[in-house]
Amino acid sequence: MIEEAIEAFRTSFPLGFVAVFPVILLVVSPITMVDAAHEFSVYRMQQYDLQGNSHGCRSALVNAEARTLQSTSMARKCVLLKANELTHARYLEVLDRGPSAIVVLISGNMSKEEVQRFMDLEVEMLRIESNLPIYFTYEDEELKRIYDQVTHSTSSDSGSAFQTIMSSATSVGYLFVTNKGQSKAQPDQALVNIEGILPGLGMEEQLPTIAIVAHYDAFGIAPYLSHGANSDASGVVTLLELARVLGKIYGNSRTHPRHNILFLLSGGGKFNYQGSKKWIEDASDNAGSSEAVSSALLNNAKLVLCLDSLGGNGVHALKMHVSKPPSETTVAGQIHRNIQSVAKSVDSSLDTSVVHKKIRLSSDLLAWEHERYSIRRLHAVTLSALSNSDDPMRRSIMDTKKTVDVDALTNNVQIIAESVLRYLYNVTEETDVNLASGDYAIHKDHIEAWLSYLAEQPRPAQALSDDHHIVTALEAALQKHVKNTRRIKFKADKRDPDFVFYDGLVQTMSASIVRSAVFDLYVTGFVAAYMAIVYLIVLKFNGVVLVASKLSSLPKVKVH
Amino acid sequence: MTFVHFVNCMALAYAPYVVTYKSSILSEYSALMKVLFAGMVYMLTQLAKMLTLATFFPTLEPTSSGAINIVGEVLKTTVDMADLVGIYFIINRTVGKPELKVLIAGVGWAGAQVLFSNFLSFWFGARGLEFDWKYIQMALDANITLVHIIATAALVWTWTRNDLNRTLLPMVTVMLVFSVFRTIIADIIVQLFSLNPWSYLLLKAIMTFVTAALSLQLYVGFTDM
Repeated sequence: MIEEAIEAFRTSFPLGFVAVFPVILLVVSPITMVDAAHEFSVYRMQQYDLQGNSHGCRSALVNAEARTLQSTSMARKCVLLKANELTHARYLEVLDRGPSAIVVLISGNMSKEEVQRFMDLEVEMLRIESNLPIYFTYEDEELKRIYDQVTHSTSSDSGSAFQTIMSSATSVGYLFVTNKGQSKAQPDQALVNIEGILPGLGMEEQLPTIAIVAHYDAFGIAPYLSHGANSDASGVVTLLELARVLGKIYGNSRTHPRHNILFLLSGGGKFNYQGSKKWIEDASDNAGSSEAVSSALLNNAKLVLCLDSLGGNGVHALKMHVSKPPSETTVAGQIHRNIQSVAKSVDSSLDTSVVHKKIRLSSDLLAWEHERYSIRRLHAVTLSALSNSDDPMRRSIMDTKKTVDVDALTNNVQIIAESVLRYLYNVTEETDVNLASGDYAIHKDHIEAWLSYLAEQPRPAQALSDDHHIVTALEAALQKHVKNTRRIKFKADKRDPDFVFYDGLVQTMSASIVRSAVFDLYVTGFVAAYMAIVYLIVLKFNGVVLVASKLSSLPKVKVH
Repeated sequence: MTFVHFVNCMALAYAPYVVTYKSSILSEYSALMKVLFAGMVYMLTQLAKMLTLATFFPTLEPTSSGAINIVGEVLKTTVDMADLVGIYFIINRTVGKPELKVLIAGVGWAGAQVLFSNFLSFWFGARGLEFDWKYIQMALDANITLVHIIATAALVWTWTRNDLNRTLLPMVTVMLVFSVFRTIIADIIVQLFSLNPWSYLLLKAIMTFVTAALSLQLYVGFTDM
């Protein structure tokens, strides 16, 4: 019978065609279409080169079946991890078991300890250079279900051989696939500085200059999850508020101070303060030129005031970070004295100490932005609520708007504005008179609105190009209050780049239900059996007809 | 899934057609050209149906709840009566034994239908990454379609007979109408009882086999097998 079937095939089809047909199909077939059970956005871990050293994960391609921590084997698989269960030890253990990719699910409701642990883990993860693609994503219901299902189907203890075979045939797996190719370096990625100036009364070149600096990008383990509310949206907000108040004062000829004030919103701050570096270089390049480039004033600046992380939750401080202890006579010393005296009248419990930290030239990363200026022998300080530059909060995706205490931030902005104003008008004695009040008051609603705007979207340096809406919004905001506002676009040097970014940081990942190869074999067996039955029925159809005619209850079908 | 899965689905869907062709009188009479002719008639009928639908029937907006618009669907299905005309045309144009006529119409028509409605789905779907039972179900449905079309062809042939007992004419007519509305009836039942795809397939199979058994009875009454 089987010979007949084979014979039937042989006589009807040219066999050569049968052999060639699948090959033709495979060759002409389009790229495998992904029509997946679940698609979601994933955010890749940082990947960048800084001063020739590469950091982060070096790969972006994922095409592997899912496993979880509980699975018996995770070699060459894509491991799903829950952020709130993840510890450094577990992470190392997972790396040891040779997965091909890692996806970390971040749930919305993590406890305080879990958040703290995750922030510490972020630092550790970045420290270990890995060739694995590591992705982060927000956990949703569907992912939770997939996670549970994967845990259930892959963690079962191996029973008898028969059970193993059965489970391999019936088990449902999830294949995780990313939609873009391997990550590529982006040598043309530009960073943008936004600068502006408030010229003092008189000859600009002869007046003392103060620079106020804050970087506006954010950093975290995954660039496109970094909102950086405290570091450094709070500094940007402070700078904008200072610009608004000072703009008003400089606009009135009766209150016009005899100081120039430079403003800089620096780009690439999280990558060793590239924006500030570029600004300083430009300033020294322009020093000799006769044209009055505002940034050239930086060379003779009396003080560069950097603002960073001014509103941490539960942190009650406004510290001055310096590389060299300021003497009483310098501007830094005067401003610190002003801060102390203002703080005393506003909130006596505020910690306003000076934190002295020498620049560690051996370190890859500068601790604070002011060190960029201190290296060039400019007087520079950083004002921050944090007491330590290594605070993981400054480089974490957990730094969201929730972590910023707007009241504390407003308080700090108030103190800084008041101290700067007292310095500008040379108010040295202890006084209760508030300069930053009335028309020149700090507005909490401004601070809150800007903070919400900046912190509600990720601000990685990789995304903040020349035409990004945050960049244009910041420029427009600065333009309203200060003069000569302009965007300065700059790229890394072609031959010896200081920084290189990579693409593929946001991708769509699809989770598709897949079956094992054994399942295909089973189906093939089933199909073969089915075909045999059909063949039998068709072959013995006469018998079926005979039964039908015997049963026939319609004797008079035909009219004779 | 894999290429093997695609091959499985194809084999499941089309093997019965090949087996039917090879082991029936179709191969004895080498009626391949006639089967292909039946397929051509299928294509032309579908073209005419589509033109009619596009011209005379407004586009039915799917309701928000996902429920089917029963009246609209039933009206649209009346156009499928053209299928009967097409099958009638094939039976009329072929010369030979009654079973040859019925088999040519059935295998040609159903083969073309399954080829045009399923092959692309298999090609793009069954080879995709995602595993879905849908394609196995479609393949099984293709087998049911074969039985259904052969039964319909047998009914059409019976209907054309002048020596048909007049008292049976209403019954044959009702069964023909039922065979046209088979899919929409199954859809409505699925909607009412919210059945899963496997039950839907089973329901279709049962309906088809009941029709097929009855038409076989009628057919056997005519022939002296």
